[in-house]
Amino acid sequence: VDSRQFADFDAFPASQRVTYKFYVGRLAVFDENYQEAQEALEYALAHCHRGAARNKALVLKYLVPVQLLLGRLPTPALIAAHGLHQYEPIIAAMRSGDVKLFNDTMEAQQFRFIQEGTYLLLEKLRYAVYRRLLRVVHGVHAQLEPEKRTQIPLPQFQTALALQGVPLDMDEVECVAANLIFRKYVRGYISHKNEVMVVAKADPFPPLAQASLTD
Amino acid sequence: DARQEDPKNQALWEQDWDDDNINDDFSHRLKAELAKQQQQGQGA
Repeated sequence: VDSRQFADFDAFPASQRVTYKFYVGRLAVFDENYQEAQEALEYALAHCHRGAARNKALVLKYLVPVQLLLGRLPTPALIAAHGLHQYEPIIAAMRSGDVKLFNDTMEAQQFRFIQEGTYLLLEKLRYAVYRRLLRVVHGVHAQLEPEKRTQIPLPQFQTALALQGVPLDMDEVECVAANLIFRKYVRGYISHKNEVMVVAKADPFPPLAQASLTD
Repeated sequence: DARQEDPKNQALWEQDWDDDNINDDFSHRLKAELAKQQQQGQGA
């Protein structure tokens, strides 16, 4: 359809353009092209007939998890308008870095999310939640020891998780930390011997949209 | 028909939530806990 010999996209009726973009978006999700999915689904949402509440809800069911992955949270007004309440605890977990809330929600809502076809997509948010928690640890650590602000002791990350009710042993904590670096959620490296994560002085936590989201 | 489309599509998404601002209840608890551990570490 994108080929030049094909008729101009805008020549088609809005309903067909919306349907087309909706499926382009869903395919892009399967292909892990989240930027493309975001553009296509945002187009579908923006051009959806204003009375087509069911279609909008359908677009949003996929668009919200895609946006979350890219670091954009739906406003409370959007959630209320389309009854997207199933995402509220996930969003709260992302905001505060609450790994326990995230885990509990994914477990409690597992059946629903699988049925809606968003479970695997939402599962990818786990690292965004870990990243947020590490950012909180980084901030608190910087207050307590300003001269060592770029050196986050991994036991402090472990303490934060334990406080939330997520007991992980040191190997697991280091594994999470290594994944955060590998997937570009955090800029830094790990000193295994010293149990320390050394993070970049400038911009240690790049925007979520810059993370590597493919497996 | 553009007139049939929804004009209320701005400001649906929040982007500036992910900052260095740590002032919630959990950060205070974490700070207290880490400070306690630090003291214990120095006392030992």
